[in-house]
Amino acid sequence: MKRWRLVAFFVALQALPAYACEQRGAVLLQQISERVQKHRRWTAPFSQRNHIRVLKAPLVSTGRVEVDAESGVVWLIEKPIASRMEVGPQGLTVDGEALRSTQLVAALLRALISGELGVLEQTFEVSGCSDSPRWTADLTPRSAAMQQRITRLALAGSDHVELLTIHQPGGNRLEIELQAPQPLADAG
Amino acid sequence: MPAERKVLAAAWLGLLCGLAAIAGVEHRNGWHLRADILTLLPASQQQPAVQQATQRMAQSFEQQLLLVVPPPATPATFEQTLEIARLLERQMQSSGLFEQEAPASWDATTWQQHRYQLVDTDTLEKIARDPSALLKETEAALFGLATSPVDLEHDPLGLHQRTLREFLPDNVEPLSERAFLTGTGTLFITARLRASAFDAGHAQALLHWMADMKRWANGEGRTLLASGLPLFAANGAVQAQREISLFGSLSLAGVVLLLLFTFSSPRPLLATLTCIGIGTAAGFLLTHAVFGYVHMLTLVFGVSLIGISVDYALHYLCAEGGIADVGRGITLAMLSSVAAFASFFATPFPGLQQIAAFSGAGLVAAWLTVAGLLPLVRLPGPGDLGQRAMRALSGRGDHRLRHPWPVAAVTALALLSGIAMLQPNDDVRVLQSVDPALAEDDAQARLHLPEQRASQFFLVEAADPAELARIEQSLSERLEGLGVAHRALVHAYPTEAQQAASHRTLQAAYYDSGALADWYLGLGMDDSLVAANAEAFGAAATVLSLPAWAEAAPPPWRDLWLGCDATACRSIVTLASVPDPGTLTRLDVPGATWVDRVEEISSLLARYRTLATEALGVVYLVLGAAFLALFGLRGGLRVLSVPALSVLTALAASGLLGLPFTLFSVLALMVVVGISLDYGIFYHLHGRQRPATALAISLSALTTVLAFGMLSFSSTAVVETFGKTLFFGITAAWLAAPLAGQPIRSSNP
Repeated sequence: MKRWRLVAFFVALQALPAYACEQRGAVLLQQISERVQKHRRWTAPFSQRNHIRVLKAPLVSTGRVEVDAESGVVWLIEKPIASRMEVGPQGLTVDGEALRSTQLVAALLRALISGELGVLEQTFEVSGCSDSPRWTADLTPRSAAMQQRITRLALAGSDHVELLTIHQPGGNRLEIELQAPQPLADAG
Repeated sequence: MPAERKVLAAAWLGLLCGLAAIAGVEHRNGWHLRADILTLLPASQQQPAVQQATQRMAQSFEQQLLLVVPPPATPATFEQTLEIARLLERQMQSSGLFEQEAPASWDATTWQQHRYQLVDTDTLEKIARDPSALLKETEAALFGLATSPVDLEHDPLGLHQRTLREFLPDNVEPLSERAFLTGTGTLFITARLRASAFDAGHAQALLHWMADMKRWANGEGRTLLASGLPLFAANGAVQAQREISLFGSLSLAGVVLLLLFTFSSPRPLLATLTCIGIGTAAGFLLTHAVFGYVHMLTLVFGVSLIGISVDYALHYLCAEGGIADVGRGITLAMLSSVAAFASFFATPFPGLQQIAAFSGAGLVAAWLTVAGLLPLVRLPGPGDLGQRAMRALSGRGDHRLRHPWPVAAVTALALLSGIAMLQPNDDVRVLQSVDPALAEDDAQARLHLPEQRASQFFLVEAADPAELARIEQSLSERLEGLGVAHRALVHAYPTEAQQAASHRTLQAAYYDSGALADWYLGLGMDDSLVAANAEAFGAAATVLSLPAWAEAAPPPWRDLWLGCDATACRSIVTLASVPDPGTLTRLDVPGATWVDRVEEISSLLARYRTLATEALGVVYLVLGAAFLALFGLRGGLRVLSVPALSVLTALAASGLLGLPFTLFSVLALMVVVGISLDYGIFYHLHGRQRPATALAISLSALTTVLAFGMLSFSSTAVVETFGKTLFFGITAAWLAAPLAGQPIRSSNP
C-alpha cells in the first residue's frame, strides 16, 4: 500500500509541470506580446555567447541594439569584431551590403528582438508559459528548410525579451542576453 | 415463335446478363470519367528519347497549380504578405484537393562532399585577391548574428553555401515549403493536385475552391491569379458535363414529344427509349471495360448513337409487318454502320478507338434489342398524327424535274466551290474550349513568375558526357548569338579540370600556407581537430563527372539531365521564350533536336485526319462493292448516291461557312455515312411509295438533327464542328434518300 502511494506521488510529480503552465500557439504569443513594454524607439546593450561544439570556449561578443518600430532593428557588434547589421523591411544589410532573399529572416529577427511575436506562428510550433512574472517560449520550425538553419529557439523575458537562445544543427547554440531597453527620443 | 426469333430473344437476354456482369466488375474496380485531352491522343510516336524528355518536362506542370498574388497597389508589409501565404496554405490543406505532403527537399550531400571542387568563380576571384577575406567573413559571422549556420569543423570557408547561392533563383525567397516571395513583392504558392482531382467529379470542386479563394483575396485587397493545366482540364470537364446534360435532356425531350405525337401512345416511346438506353449502356460499359475509363469527348460523341440506334426502333415501329418486314433492312443498316466505325479501330488513336468501341457495342446492342425484344411485346403502330404524316411524306421525291441538268450543274458547282473553300485545321487547341477569363488569368500569372520557360526545348544526345557538353556548348553559343535566353547544364557545371584547379587553389591558399591551421588555433580549436580537417581536405580530391554532378543537382538543373544508357547520354536545354520558332527549328546543331509537343500533337492530328479520311474512303469503297453485289449495279449506285451526296453537302456547307475541317469533321462524316446508308437501304428495299419508310426515315432524321443541332451550340470548337457537320449531312441525307428508291413505275407498295 505504501509503495503504491509512493508511485502515485511520483506520477503526480511528473504531471505537475504540465498543468502548472503549458500554453501553445498564437494565444501564448499574443499574451507575451502584450506583456512586452512598448517604446517607439529604444536601445539596449547585449552580450552574445556562441557555443561552438568544436571550440574549447564560447565566443563572446558585446554590442548594442537600436530598435525603431517603423524602420526596423540595427544590431551593432562592438567587440571583438565591429559589425553593423540592419534588419529592415526589405531584408538584411550587413556592413552596408544588402543580402538578397532575407525578408523572412529579417521579419523573424525583428519579431524576436522587439517582442512582437505574432508573426512567428507561421514559421514555428510554439509552446511555453506566460503565467509567472517571467515568461518563456519554445519555438520549433515547421519546415524542413528552416530546420536546416535553426533546430529550436528558446525565449525568456519579463517586460522585455531577456534571453534568446538559437539552437543550430550540429549541436551549436547562440545565447543572446539583452539588457533592459532604454527609450530613445524620436529622431527628427 | 420461329426458331430464329427464339435465338434472337435468347441472345438479347444473354446481352442483358453480360452487361449486368460487366457493370458489376467495373463497379468493383471503380468508375473513371476522364476529361484531360491528352489521354485521347496517341503516345508520342517519335523516338523514345524525345518521349522521355517530353514526359520529364510535362511532369513538372501536369498536376501543378500555381497561385500568384501580385503586390497590392499600396505596399503591404512583409508580415501582411506572410499572413496571406499562411491563410492560403491553410485553405489548401483543408480543401482536400491537394497533395498534403510537401515536395521532397533536395538532397545536398553529394554537392556538399565536393564543396572543394564546386567553388564558384566569384569565390575563386576573392581568394586570389586575399585568401584571408573568407576567414574574416566566417569570423565576423561567428561573432555576429549569423543568418546561416557555420560548419566551423568541416566547412570553415562556407564553400557549400557560397556555391548554392549561385544556384538559387535570383531574388526568390522561400517562405515555407510551398510559398515563395519574389524581390518585387509577388507571392506565389505551388500546389500539386491529388491524382484523383483529375476525375471529372472533382473538377467542379476545384473550380469552386478557386472562385472562393479569389473572392477572399479580393476581400483582403489583393488579387489572386492562378495558372496550371489542372484548371483548364477542370474547366473543360465542367463545360462538357454541362453540355452533355443540357443537350442530352433537350434532345431527349424532343424525341419524346415527337414519338408521343406520332404514335399517340406511350408504349412505342418506351420501346424506343429502351433501345437507346440499352445501346448507350452497352457502349459505355464495353468502352469502360476495354479502356479502363471513358473520356468526356467519347461521351459527347456517344450521344450520336441516339441518332443511329433510334432508326432501328423507328423502322420497326412504323412497319406494318413487324420484324419480318424490316429485319433485313435494319440488319444491313447495323452491319454497315458497325463496319464504318470498326475502321476507326485500326487507327492508333485512343480517342478514335474509344468512339469505335462505344459505337460498335452500342449499335449491336440497340439492334439486338429491336430484333430480340420488341417482337415479344405488342406495340401499336402510328396514331392519327402519324398516319397523316405518313400520307404527307409518302411519294416524297417523286415529282420529276422538267430541266434536271441545269439543276444538277448548279448543285455540282455549289458543292465543288464549297469543298474548295474547306480549310483544314489541325491545331490541338481546337480540341479544348478555353475560358477566356481563365486564359487571361493564366497569362497574367505567368508574367509574374521570376523565370519564364517555354514549352518547346532542345533535346541533346551524344555518345558520352564529354561529347554532350561539347554539343550543349555549341548549341548555347548559337542561341546566345540569336539572343535567346536559355538554361543548359554546361553553363553551371565546372569541368573536371576546373574542379581539380579549385582544389589546388584551396590547397595553396589555406593548407600549404598554414593560414587555416593558424586561424583555427586562434579561435581555440583543438590540435587534433585541426589536423583532422587537413586530412579530410587531402582525401576529398575526387572530381565529379557531369552525370554524377547533374544527378545530384538542385531541382531546376536536375530536371535537365535525362541520364545515360548503353547507347547515349541525353540532356535538355530549356528556353525562356521562343521569339521565332522557325529560326530555332532550322538551327542545325548535330546532336541537338528541337522538340515542340504542341506542334507535334497538331501534326499528329493532321496525320490522323488524313488517316481517318482514308478510312472513310476505304469504308465507302468496301461497302460500295458489297451493295453493288447485293443490289445490282443500278440499285447499288442508287443506294450509294445517298451517302455520297450527304458527305459532299456537309463538306461544302462547312467550306462555305468557314468551319475548320478537322479530324472530328471526318468523324462526323463517318456517322453521316452510317445514317445515310440506312436511309438508302430502306428506300431501296421498300421503295419510295411505302409510307412507313418515309415516316421512319423522317422521324429518324428529325431526332438526329435534334440531337446534333444541339451540339452546334457547344463552346468546344471541335464539338461544334461535329454538330454542324452532322446537321448538314443528315439534312442532305433526308433530302437525298428518295433517290435510292425505285421509281414509281416499278415501285411495289
